[in-house]
Amino acid sequence: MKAIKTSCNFKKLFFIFYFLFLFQFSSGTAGELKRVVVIVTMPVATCEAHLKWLVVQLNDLGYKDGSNMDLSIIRANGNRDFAEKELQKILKNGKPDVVAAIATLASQAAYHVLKGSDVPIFFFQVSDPIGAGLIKKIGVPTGTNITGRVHTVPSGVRVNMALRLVEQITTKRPVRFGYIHSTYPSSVGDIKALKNITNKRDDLIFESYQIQYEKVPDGTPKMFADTKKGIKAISGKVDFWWQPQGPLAEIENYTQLLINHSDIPVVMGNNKAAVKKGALLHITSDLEAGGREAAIFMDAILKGADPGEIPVTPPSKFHIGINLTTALKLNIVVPPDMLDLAGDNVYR
Amino acid sequence: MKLQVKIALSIIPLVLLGIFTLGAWSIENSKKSIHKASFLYMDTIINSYMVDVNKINNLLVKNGLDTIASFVAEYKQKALKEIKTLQIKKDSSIIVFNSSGEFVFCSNKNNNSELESIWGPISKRAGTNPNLESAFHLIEEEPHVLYVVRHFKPWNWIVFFSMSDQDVHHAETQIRNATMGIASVCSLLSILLILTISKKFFVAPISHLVKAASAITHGQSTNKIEVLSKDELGDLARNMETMSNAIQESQAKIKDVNINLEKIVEKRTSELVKTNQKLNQEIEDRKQAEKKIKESEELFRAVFEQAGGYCMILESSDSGIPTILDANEAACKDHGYSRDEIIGRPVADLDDDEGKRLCVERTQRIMTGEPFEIETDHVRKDGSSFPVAVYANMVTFENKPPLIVTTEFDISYKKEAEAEKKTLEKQLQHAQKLQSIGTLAGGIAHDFNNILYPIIGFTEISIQDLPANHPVQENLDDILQGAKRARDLVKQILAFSNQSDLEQKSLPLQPLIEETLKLLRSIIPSNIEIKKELIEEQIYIFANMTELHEVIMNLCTNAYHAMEEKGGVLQISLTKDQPGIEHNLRLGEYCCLGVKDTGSGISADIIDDIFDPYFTTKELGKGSGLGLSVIHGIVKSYKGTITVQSEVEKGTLVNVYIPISSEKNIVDDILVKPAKPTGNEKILFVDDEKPIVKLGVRLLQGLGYTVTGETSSKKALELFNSSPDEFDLVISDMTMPVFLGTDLAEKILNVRKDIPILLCTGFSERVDKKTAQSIGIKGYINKPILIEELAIKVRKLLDEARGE
Repeated sequence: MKAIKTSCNFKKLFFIFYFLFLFQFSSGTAGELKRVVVIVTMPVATCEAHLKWLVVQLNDLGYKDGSNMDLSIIRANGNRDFAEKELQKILKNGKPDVVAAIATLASQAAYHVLKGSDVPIFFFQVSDPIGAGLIKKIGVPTGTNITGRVHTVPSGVRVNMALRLVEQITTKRPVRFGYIHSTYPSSVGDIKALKNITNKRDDLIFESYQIQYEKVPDGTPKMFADTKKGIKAISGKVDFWWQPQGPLAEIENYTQLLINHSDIPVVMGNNKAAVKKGALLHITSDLEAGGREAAIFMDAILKGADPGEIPVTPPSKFHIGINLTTALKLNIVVPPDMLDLAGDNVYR
Repeated sequence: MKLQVKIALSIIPLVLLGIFTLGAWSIENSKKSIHKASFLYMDTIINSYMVDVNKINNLLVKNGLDTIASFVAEYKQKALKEIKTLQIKKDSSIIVFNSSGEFVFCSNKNNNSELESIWGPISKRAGTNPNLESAFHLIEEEPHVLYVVRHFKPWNWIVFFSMSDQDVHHAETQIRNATMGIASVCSLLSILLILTISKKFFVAPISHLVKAASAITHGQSTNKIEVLSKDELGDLARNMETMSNAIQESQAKIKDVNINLEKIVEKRTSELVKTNQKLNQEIEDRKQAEKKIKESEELFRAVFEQAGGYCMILESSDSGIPTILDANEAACKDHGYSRDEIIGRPVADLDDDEGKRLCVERTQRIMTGEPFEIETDHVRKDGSSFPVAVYANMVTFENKPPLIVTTEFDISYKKEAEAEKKTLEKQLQHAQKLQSIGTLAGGIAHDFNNILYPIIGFTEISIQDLPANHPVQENLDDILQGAKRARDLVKQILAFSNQSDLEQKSLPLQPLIEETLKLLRSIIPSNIEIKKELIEEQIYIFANMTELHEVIMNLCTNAYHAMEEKGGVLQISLTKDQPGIEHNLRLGEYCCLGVKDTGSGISADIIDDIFDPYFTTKELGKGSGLGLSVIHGIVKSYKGTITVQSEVEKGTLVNVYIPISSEKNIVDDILVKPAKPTGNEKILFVDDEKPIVKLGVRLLQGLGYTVTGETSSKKALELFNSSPDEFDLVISDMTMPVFLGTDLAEKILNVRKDIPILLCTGFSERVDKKTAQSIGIKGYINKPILIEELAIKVRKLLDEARGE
């Protein structure tokens, strides 16, 4: 955790802890009925985990659906238009008190419908909120009706951790990572951030291959087919795979797809499932903490906090997962500090 | 050596001995404590490290990696690297051996084989000793080194933490130094305490006694000696007080005697000072009085000298003529005497003959006490005289005969001013006379012009109508000439009185001179030769052609008259000149028209009068006396001047200077008279005088126009209103009953805005151009009207109305 903590601005942490402290002991409002809308981008594990912990924390804070809270959940299934229409239907019956959006597509839909209104929006599980057009700058108050949390660990941290491992087994420079991604905004923003890093150093490069984003789960076969083409196209140019942010790598068999169709090891997985399937490493936000944190902020907003005054910052808690079988197979010795950080997330 | 120092020296060695003994005991005790603390410190460091090593090993065990050689080796290396991050002292080191006694790592760069030979066996023994579970301490005496040892069984590591005696010794030294420091401070404080006590109980009482003895020796009071103790020093002090009191009483008596003596001396001194002050005041008063007298004298002298005019003080004499007692500088200087010469002189010496004669009588009048003022003449020493105003007063004094004070002023300037005033009054009377003539001339000019208008007009018509050889033609010519002379005379009168309204233009001078000479040749007899000398460059001046013609004609006629009897040469010249201020002209370029004759000349006594009006030397009937005065007025109005040089029987030269005009857009149509323009338009002619209407109708009909004449302005307006489009032009007189010309014009223009109107005005009816234009009148013409002028104006207005 040392590396992650140092990347966080002390001020931001203070602000976050201040809010956590402020609202930890506050109970939900008892009498008044609060209209809460949650939009979920697609039925993938990450989104579902975030939704689960969001609801749990709302309950912990005293909000009970059907009692003092009218909770509406819109499942977009990867379709932004659908999400927007559903939200507009809800709006016709009255303004919600707060709207939570899980992942980029849902956040864009909420923002598009509620932009300029006084309905507060809280987004999370969004890797690149600037690229998605939600906010102008990370780390400062938005001044509008929207705020939220960035999903990913800063790109520099992920790059450094990955390099610490792969540098043990290759002397070739630059180290080449293959990055097959969809046109989904988070994916595009992620590769853009990674390439910004490689522009400043010459010891690694990212060879990217972009495919068209299709709605999940209906469009999964199409995206997998395109991914295979990508594997074929760039596998001769790369040393390791790096899984993208966004829905493509969220799909359960994506890691398997990479392993089955190339003999190139997957170093950076998108999530814990990817590491379990054979990816060497993943560094992702703590889904339980992320969901609970979102609920705490929503509670604050419901009690009168101005979303325009809450800065958008990275999440406060992360997970590192390591696949020791992959490490031993690659003759990589995982440094003690990384192994210590992984804790129980070490898989064989 | 002082008593206090002696006391201190006797006690200090004992104090120092005690303090340093205590110090040595403290040092020995602290050494043991240091060893204990050192081991505690070393235990803390090495325990902390062992926790880290254990943690790393646990990671391996937990993840099942303790059997993976690469992980174990890497993690052990990591553990050894952690040693370098420990904060241990510079001369301390951490050494790792395995339980076989083989060297693994040392935090310092020591000789590994040496270390192995020393510590290998110990490590081996420790590794095989089942009772050596975790830790033990070692102290090696030479060199003095402290060791802490740990056994980490999972990796079979024996870890030594050594700290050299240098560090321990350093701590000991610090404690010793601190103890020595404290001992020194205590010693110093003890000495100060000893000194303070000895001072209070011994040194201070003795010091008081010494001071008291010294005071008694010097005769000073010592009523109380501050030694209160009941020991020997106290007794001594009390005896000295008794002795001192006895001495004080004796001295008090002596002091009383001295005080009485001083009082007597002080009283005497005070009296002496008062007397002295009185004398000084008297001296000062006298000085002030003298100063005031001197200032008064200076003030009087300044007033006397600067009062203005001549101030004199006279005193009576038996002869009745006062003598001069004093006179100011101005009086002396302006009468030509020095001060010494004038003082004591009879005042009659300064009077003229009449003053001398009346001196006694005037003196008697002054002595009556009445104010005396006269204007008389005074005579200077050199005999010359000057007018003065004299003011005299009698001044009386107590117990002294009265004096006379005179103040006199030179009034030469006043006399001159009076003379000048008389001259100006004369000139003013002359100017008023000329003005009244001008006013009279202006008044009759209108009537004259109205009379002359039909005479000239009808004569011209008659000449045109009659055959050329008709016997009346000669008579008509004479009538026309006479009428024209009468018209010119009116113009001259108006020009002289500066009331003419003749238009001025930029004119070429040479053609005008040529034209005039052409006329002159016909009237000047052949015994007079005419010469001309004109500059080739065309000269333009801003003037009226008629006036200018008058000037040249008049000068030439005068010249001709001067040579009429004997004949001679008449020379006309034209040059460019810059006469400047000698002729009282503005700077610039002028033309000089010179008319020179060889005639009778003008005598010097009358040459200044020749420009006066009505001044003439000609026979009665030959000259009006206005000619030169008129041309003088004309030339002056052009901002020029005339100069005359003449010598009796030799001839006269008259130069006329006129500024050259820079404008050259000349209208010289008069020099070449065009044929009279004609037309066939319809004209309404309005004038209240029937002959004028008749003449106007005839003249205009002669030019081809259809003319309707009307003597009533009212009827003329009715006629125009009834058929406004019947007329192309209206000509109206200015002064008429019912409607003035301007009123009639205004009413006509109200009916028909575009009708051109020509207004005829006499001298007294002049309407300025702006007024005429504001009404809408297109043109105006001055009476008496000449046929050519009328023809041109009428045609011009009609053409303008048609837009040609």
